Amino acid sequence: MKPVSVYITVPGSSAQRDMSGWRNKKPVIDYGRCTNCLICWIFCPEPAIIREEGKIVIDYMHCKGCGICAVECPRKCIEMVGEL
Amino acid sequence: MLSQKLLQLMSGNDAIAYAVMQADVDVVAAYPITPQTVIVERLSEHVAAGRLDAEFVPVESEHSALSVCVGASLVGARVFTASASQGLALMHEMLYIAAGLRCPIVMAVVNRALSAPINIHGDHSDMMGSRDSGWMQIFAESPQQAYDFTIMAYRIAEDRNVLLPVAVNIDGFTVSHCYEGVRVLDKDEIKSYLPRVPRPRLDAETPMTVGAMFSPDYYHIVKTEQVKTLQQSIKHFKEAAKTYPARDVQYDVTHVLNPGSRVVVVGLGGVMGTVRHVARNMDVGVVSVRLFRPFPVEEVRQQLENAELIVAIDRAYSPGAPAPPLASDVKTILQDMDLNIPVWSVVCGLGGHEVRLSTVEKLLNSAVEAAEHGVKTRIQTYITEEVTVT
Amino acid sequence: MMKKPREEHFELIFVGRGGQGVVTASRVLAEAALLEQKFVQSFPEFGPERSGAPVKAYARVASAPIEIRAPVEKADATVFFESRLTQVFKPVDITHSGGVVVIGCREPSKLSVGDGLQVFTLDAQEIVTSLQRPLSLNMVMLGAVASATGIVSLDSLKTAVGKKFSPVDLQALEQGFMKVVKHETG
Repeated sequence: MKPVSVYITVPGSSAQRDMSGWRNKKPVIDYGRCTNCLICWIFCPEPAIIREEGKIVIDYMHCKGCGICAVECPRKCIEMVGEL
Repeated sequence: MLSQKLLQLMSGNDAIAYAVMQADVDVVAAYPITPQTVIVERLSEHVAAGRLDAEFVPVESEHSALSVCVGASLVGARVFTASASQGLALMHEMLYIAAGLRCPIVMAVVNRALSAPINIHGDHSDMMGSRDSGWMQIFAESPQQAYDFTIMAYRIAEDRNVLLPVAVNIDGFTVSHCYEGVRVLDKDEIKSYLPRVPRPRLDAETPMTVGAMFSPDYYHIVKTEQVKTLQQSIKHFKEAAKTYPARDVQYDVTHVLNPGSRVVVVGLGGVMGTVRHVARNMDVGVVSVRLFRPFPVEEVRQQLENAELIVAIDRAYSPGAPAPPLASDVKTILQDMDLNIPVWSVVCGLGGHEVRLSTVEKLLNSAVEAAEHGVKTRIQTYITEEVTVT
Repeated sequence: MMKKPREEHFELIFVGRGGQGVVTASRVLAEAALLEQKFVQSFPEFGPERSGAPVKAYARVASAPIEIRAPVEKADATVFFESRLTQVFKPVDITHSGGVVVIGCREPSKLSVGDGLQVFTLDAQEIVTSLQRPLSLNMVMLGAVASATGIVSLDSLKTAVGKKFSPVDLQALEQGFMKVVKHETG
């Protein structure tokens, strides 16, 4: 059955959109100082900080470069790095 | 001629409630308002007495009534609501959502004037205010048509190639509170006429997103598709009319009396019965528009092209517009046909103002006289006892 | 006394007061005529639906489909639930010349209805008082108009009334049918 086009039938399709173009600075983590406290994971307004085994990683396809993670990091180990 | 033997005495409101019960709807969400109240009362009685196995949701406003209907419709339920006047106005934003989300909701609109000044009586201002909401709009002239069109509305709305909400309009009081003999179908006839057709619906097994934001790149595509679907739903109305199980009626998008007459009257709703009563023995054609949206352009065009004078009767103003709603449509058709036929735009019956037989007689007589004398004057007027143009 | 309707399209106006069952009378007449396989229409005058206020209800009985949706301006028969109301709506204004006027009236000798009408009267209040049922006034008037016009049979009316109303209503109907008399002075 072909659905009418006002219905979006692929669940989670918005996750496939590349949002990296919204950004002019990207957060970079200094893993040498990161304690994996997850404060950045809590504050990220997008689901752009992902928990992996024993560390967090940044999903650069969805990160819009807001910088909240860098401000909130208690050890100041996230740096916003300019992008071309 | 049909036998009167099997008929039940019903008002327009009774007839609609009975049709909804027989259509075996799953959800009724409605807020009572004069002159629609009887429909809601009857349906709550049908549900309470077990004659209708439906969820009856006594909402706190019309906005919620239609919101409930949208939600229920999207999970696949057959739903009904009814409103009028201020209630329909309060539903306004939900009307567009119901149409845009392609919900096959059927709503009875018991046409009533809008405040201010407050008035509980009939005219078409309420539906004309919602004219462009994307709903199919049917106008019934009698309790029998109110019943038949309500049943037909479910067939059309739920057609997999339509999936649009349908408003069945009846004139407040003059049809809603008028008792006439109504022939009702039997259960089996309705069951086979209204099969449960599968349609896209919200369902945990096959998830989908409904009501998402659409960017300008996509919004216009979806809207254009919706409008095209509405336009081509004329053929689904015709199909629903052709297959309608009542053996004694054959409905169409318009009803035409005295085709090929010099003067042609075009109009909507119950007042057209009075016009036909007067015109039956005159050289006056009467085109009663049964399906107002989508407008049956081709069918009306055929009736207008040989006329010498056209009288377009509206039961609402379109304040500030070049012409009232129906007259506007008529003039657009004439322009598209390169035809320069004078149109008399007559507004009548505002706020329940009686449209008397004698008034209609005078109007038609002066139209015939004007046509005989080749009078080309265009007029826009509210109907009075003395419509004369020389 | 029995009169056949003049035409196949017969129109009636019931005049009474809000609360006297004027609208119900019109509807029951339509239901009875429907039982006789006629085309019918019944509707009230919309607006002044207040207890005690003068109200009108209309009915049409025809041998062909009824398309007209306008109120009855001049009826073939008018029914006044009480004589005082003939001063609110003048019978000559709302009844066709030669038409039937039925008036619930205590003192018919004092009536002045106008010329060219067939006037029928009965003491409807006396009937409902004797039945100890003031609410059955509309049934008395229904019986009376059926008798004066012949537009529906008493049997059809009894069937229609019996479906929804009490045995006293049937008695009121019958007494109205029996007791209505032609008013000689016009």
